[in-house]
Amino acid sequence: MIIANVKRFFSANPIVSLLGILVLILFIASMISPVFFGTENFQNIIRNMAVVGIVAMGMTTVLIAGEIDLSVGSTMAFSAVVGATLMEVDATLPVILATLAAGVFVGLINGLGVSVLRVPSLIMTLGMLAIGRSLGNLISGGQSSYPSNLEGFMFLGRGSIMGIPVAILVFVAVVVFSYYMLALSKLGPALYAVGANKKAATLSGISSIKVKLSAFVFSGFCAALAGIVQSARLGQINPSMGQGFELTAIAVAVLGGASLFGGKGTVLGTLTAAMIFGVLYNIFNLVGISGHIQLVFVALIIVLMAYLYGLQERTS
Amino acid sequence: MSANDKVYSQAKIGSIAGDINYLALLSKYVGRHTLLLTFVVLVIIGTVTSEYFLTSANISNLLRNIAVPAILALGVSFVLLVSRIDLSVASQMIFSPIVGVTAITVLAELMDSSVLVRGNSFIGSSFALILIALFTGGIVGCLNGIGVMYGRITSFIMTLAMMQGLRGMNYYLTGGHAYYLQKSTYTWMGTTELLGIPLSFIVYIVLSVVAGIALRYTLVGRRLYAIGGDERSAALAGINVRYWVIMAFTICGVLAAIAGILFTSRLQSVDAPLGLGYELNAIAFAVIGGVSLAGGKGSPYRVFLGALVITTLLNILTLWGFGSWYQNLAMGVVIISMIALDQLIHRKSNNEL
Repeated sequence: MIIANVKRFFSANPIVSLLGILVLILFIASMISPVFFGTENFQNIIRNMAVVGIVAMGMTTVLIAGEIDLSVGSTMAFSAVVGATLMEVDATLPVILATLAAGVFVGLINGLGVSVLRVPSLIMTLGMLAIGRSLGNLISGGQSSYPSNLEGFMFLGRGSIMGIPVAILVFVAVVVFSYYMLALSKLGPALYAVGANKKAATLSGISSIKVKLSAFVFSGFCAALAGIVQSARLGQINPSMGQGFELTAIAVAVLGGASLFGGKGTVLGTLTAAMIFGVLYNIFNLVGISGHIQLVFVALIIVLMAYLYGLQERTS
Repeated sequence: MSANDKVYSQAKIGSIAGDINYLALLSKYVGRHTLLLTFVVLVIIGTVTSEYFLTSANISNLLRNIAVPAILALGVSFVLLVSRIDLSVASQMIFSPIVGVTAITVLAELMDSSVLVRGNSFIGSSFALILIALFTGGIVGCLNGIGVMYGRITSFIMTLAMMQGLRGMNYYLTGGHAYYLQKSTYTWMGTTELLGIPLSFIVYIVLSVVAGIALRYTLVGRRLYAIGGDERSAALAGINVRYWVIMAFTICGVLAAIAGILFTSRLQSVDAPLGLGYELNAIAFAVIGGVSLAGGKGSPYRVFLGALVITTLLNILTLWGFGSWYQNLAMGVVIISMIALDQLIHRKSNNEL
């Protein structure tokens, strides 16, 4: 009875429930650990969350358009490596621009493959996952490069403005832009329409090719941006970075209310889900649970929350 | 428009139509036999460019490389057939033997003896290990199915969580160290060849034939294809959809365990980080073979063709001296272009996830 009621509430008010869960987790965290609410710990949480969060925002857009992007993890590495080839110039701007351009390019290819060649996105981006990772390795020779000379680049991962870490500001900028795109711009309704019912959207004059292209390009852009922030945080541009990120990003987006069948998902939902994940990992670390058991716990939590959502499988 | 122009334009239309018919015929043939033709072309290329390609050592190597991922792909194809997906096969593959070793170790400790000697060498019964591994695979697959059908969790998310959870468990159970499996029975499985054909490939072919017969001639096949074709109609026709979908996941789990036993018997060890990314290869094999992501289409024979083509391609690249980075690159390009070609030929509506 209680479970059924909880489930009903959850499916009816996903975002309220998510915020509720976040508050509950924050409450538990403050009981467990006295250092939890310290500024430093909080900055840590958000900083950790920023990279996953940026990727998840792009993923949310693609999911809303009714597609999926498995290539984000390798796009992170590929574009960062492409940017690293310009490191000898000793200027931050060309490196960052090259990185972002590489991400956009990957997104463009994904989008063209899905919308023009009509390759199912699962296959298209699965292929791109392999291609991006191997190109990244081939370009870099499998070696990391170290951007510590590029002060501007490092600033994006480690610097702070008025006490707020830049990584967080970048994340906030992505969130604001995603919100603008999905809720305020003309593209937003088109994305939801194409994702919910492609045929109806096409018949009402929306170009599904353009819409899907934009979604994939945004996802590629976000992945490249996450690649920059991650590299700057770690102080190295590693061609094997971001492995498995695609699945974490999908999990975050889906728990935030995005549907794998398209037409559903919000910026606020994904943001809340990303925070829940960030806080959870933080609690695990504070309590001293090892990384491997963390995986098991997170898996259990994903299953539990997905169950509460009562996401129904669409069968045809 | 003058009469001449009209005749001219009609003739033009006629000749274009003729071309289209001819092209359509060709593309129909190519479309039906793309994989076989690709395989023949690859064999010719391989034979011409490398003197080692047709040696028995290389062929036996090729067959060995097909076996493990193809068994995973066979399992995944059962799940794809009922329009679900299983991302957890690779972690299941490693999890099953690890549970086998752990369970026997714990049992032995209860009886005051030890089956782990000299730095994690496992000396317990191989037979018991295999039995527990198969059972574990079945249970995990069944859990996936229950989560999907009773928990109503999308299969992508359910098996994604299972994949992560099992990876965590693999590290936890092994403590991050490899177990060495060097009992004679176990190593026998990894090294035996009959007439130059590795045992693992024979096991794969037997499983494939059994699966093919079951899907084509028995109730199992008719039920699974019906559910994949249209789940609601299948349910209305009185098919117990829950039972059969859970069955598909369970079969997939058992096959993953079999793949894991063959995989670890070849390596003579089992370690948590092994098999990373194999789930995507398995799905790629199945999909290249023509198993539809939308369900209801595909057969073990097609999975075999998909595995054959990709593995032969990778084998030729190895013989040419291209490392794994180039191989992954080629694999990505081949997956995308194969499916794009297929879509161009058939031009049917886009298969969504």
